[in-house]
Amino acid sequence: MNTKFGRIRQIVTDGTGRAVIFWLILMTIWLSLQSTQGMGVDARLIQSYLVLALPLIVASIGVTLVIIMGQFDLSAAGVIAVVNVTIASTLGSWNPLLVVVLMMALGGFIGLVNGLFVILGKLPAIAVTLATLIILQGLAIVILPQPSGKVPPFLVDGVRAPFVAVGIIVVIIIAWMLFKRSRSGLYMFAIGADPEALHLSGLPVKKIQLKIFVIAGALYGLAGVLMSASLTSGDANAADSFLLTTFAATAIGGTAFVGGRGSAVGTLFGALTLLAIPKVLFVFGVSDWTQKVAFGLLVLLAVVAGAFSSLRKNRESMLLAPYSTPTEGEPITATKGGNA
Amino acid sequence: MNVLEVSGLEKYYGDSVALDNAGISVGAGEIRAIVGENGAGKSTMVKVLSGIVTPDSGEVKIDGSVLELGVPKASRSAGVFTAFQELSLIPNLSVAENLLIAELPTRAGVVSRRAVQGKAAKILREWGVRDLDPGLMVGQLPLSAKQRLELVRTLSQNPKILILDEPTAALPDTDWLFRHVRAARDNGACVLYISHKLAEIGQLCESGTIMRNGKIVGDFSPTNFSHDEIISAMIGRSISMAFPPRVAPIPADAPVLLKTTDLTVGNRVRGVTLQVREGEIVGVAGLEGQGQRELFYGLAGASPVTGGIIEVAGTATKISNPRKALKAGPGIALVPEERKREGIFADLTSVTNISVPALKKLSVAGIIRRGPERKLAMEAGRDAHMPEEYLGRDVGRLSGGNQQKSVLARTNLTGAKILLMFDPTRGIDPSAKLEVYSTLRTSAANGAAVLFYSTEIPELVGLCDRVIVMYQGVAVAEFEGEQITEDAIMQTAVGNASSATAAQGEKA
Repeated sequence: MNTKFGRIRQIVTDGTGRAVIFWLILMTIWLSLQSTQGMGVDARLIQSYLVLALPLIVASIGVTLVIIMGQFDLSAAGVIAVVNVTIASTLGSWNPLLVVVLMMALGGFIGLVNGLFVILGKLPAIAVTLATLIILQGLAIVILPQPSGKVPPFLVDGVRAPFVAVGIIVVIIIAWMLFKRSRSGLYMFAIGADPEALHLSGLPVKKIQLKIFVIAGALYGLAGVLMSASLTSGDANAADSFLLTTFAATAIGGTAFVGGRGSAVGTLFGALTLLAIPKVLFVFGVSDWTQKVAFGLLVLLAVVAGAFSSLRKNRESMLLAPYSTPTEGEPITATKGGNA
Repeated sequence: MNVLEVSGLEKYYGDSVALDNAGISVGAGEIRAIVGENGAGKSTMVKVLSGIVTPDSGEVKIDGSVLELGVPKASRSAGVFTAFQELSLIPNLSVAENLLIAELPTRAGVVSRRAVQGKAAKILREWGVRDLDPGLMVGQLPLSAKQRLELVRTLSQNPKILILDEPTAALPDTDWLFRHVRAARDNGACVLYISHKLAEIGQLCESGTIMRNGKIVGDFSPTNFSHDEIISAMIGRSISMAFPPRVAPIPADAPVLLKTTDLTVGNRVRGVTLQVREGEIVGVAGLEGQGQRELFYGLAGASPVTGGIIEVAGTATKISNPRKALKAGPGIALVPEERKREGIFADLTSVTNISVPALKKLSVAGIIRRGPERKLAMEAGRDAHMPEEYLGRDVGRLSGGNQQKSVLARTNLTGAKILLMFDPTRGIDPSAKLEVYSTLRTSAANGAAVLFYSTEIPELVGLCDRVIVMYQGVAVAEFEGEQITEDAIMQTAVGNASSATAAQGEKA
């Protein structure tokens, strides 16, 4: 199908394409209603929306990587909480760059621990990472029992500076495009689809799986820094919602929970969609208590749309490859004629 | 000196032996055939040599130096490259990426699509493959193209030890492969060629080794041996199992309980027509993956039937799920392939496992009455030769044989008269096997129609009234009475159709 219609159809059936479309619809509704109701639309409005979205985007991409690899990771909310309270309680006046590096290393280390249990210990990922999540959430309260503390001002101001949030999003998209085409990226997709085949091909499957857990952990660490900058202080419970929203963003972004398929860019727009929903509900004047119901319904709508396409794809892949028919290979070799 | 020296390989999976003191030596420039029945240990040996499976003991020497076992990388750097039977291709990567998976060329860390596709196209050209677009996703290719890709990937590594495990299972033009295998041999490679197809082995191989039950049982010269002799050695003549006597010939007017016409299931079963009469045990034979599984699962409503007609006791019936199968006419029940995963509720007692289909009948106001439940399970268990003392134990802790007897007892309790038995004797001990045979024969005598698949040909010969042989999703031959011999089944199962027609000629 080489027609224009075919190309449009392709975008709509692709998970990322659908996430982008869904997001654009919500943004149009939000911003047009916002301006017609005289509330004004300016760069600051978009800026604050993006600053709020950044931590969710980064954390959800970490979750997405693990899911593409065919595994599961619940620890994001725990890592973010610990990073947030650590920054607010002790790193408030440190060099911001050092804070970023340290916190990503901390996240990466937690990812390594998860990976060691899950990959080498062969324990169920959902149980291991649930345990890490609870431990880390508890640890965060021990470190900072009351919301307080400060975040390095450079981070707080930096993330709000013009074009910084947009810049980070562009960097994320470019980084994903490169990673997807890197060796590790290809192997990540391959493991999600068929770890046994990759093992038979002689590749170090476990090492690659560990690496992805570490990368995901480091991304949670970065998300923790970004959330701290957005929040400007420490709060051990502030990251709780990430447990569910990271998975929601991944699902809306069209990443299949069966592994081997998915996109960080889809997840990025999934996260943006997720945070645009309350804005739309607000301009429609939906009251506080019904907002939650409407929010849930919209998330369901976004997920169902995504699930339908992956369901259809599953069905297609269920049809097994046919047996060869003797005529099929005829044109392959020129020297076939000698066989009478 | 031999390039490959394997000695004393042992590999156990639980109680079952995959390799039992297996040893083999192969010289440079030699194409060695390895033959054996399904489960003889060929594929396990291949995986040991490739570093995929770590043996319990044993040694592999290549060019005199000891190979580190269980390390794929070590095997590869020693020059061992394998085209696997199950194919080691990744469905969501392209042909080119699969071809170069182990050494993807990168530029600044990024795998350059153009470089990969260019390099892959060059390799495909060199190996005479012109119809494969390097950019295609492997998951979309037909099996024959995947097989060719697997072979090109292996051959293009210039292996010192080239292992081909059933390389022509889906390959239409064997000449292409043979040419390249001979070229590799002429360059001094040592080739292990694993195949069921004896005609090919006669064409290609200089020497042969026969495996049975994880052991090396002998060598043969493919040019001097008759196929019958090799097949006899593969099957082993030591089998002296007592099968229950067949009842007098099934009367021609016995009602046909199950009939299919041009049945298709996806593209694994491609038009199978068969019928099973009341009181009859019909065997299904075939090498692995010829559509037997899909046939059974399709009939049981566990795989979607995509075409053809199923008639149950004379009525055309649509079977869309296992529950419908059970309720169709006299009822269709399946004993599934993977007992542990599909057949039992491991953490429930044997009594509960058996009584599941009767729970509704056994309960009052939703509460199961334990006394009658136990009594019923005991009766059903006795018919299936289940020792009474095991009834109270968790099924998961019983031996495979007693697990299977619980499954058979349950199947009988469903009251279904059409029994689909998919390899019910897999992995159970000989005496339990005999009891399973007798249970099946008793069911048939009591009016059941049994369709019985087994990977062990002697079982089919000993137990069945008729045997259908499947090859590539089609029933290629049917044998009855005296025609049912191991040779006849083996010959047709490997796609040697001439003996099938010969058998039918005799019949005429």
